[in-house]
Amino acid sequence: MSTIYFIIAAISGFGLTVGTLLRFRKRGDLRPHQHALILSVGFFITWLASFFAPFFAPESRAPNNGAIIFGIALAISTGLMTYAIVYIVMTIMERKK
Amino acid sequence: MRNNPIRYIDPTGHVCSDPEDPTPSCENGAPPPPVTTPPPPPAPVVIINPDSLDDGQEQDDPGDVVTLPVEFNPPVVGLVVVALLLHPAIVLTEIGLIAGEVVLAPMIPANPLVLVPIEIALIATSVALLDLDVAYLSYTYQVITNPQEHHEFEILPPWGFDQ
Repeated sequence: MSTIYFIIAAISGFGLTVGTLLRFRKRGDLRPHQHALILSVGFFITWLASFFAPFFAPESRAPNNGAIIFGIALAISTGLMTYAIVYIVMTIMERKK
Repeated sequence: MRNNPIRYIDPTGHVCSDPEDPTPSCENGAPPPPVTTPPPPPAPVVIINPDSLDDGQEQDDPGDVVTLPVEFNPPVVGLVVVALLLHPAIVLTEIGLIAGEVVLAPMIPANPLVLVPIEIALIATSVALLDLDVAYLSYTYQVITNPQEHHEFEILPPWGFDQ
């Protein structure tokens, strides 16, 4: 059951990220900072929701303090890493144009 | 009436216990002495054998000795190094998968029979990679925080956090 909760949260998070990117791209070209910000926030939400969703499944234990800190740290590190990677890649791609 | 056992006092002066003892053990009406139960037999000795080649046959009393193999955790340094490489690699792959989904999504109405399965495959890959990332980092975290216990690598949620 917890696996189903995880899959639903992960698909929702990725879908939200893709949908947000599509909506902003329709409005016009995105700068590297905007690209990186949308993706990093989307990944942060996706990782956070996916980690904590299984704990809300029936008959599952509540996360202890270590798990809570680990999940938040994992989501923050993923968001920061995503911002750095996307910003560098998009800046390089813009210069090549 | 001298045969009345209640009033009878031993003329030799013998008494069952010290009359000044605050806790007499054998006076009339006193509670019987506690029943002493024999101590339980000693538990079998468990020897954790650190040497996998030692079969433990040289023990003095092999009847009560149970030899268990030690299950070690992987070295923490190796786990951390792999985590530092794996996490950025998975994030980079996820960015590529999301970019592919963003590029393919506007073209779905033109060719849905081909592009919808591709989109589903991309999303499934993204979810699987996310699960692998969280599972490996959770395992590394558990080994680092509690190195004395043996931890199993659990690929599915809640990744060992329910124990």
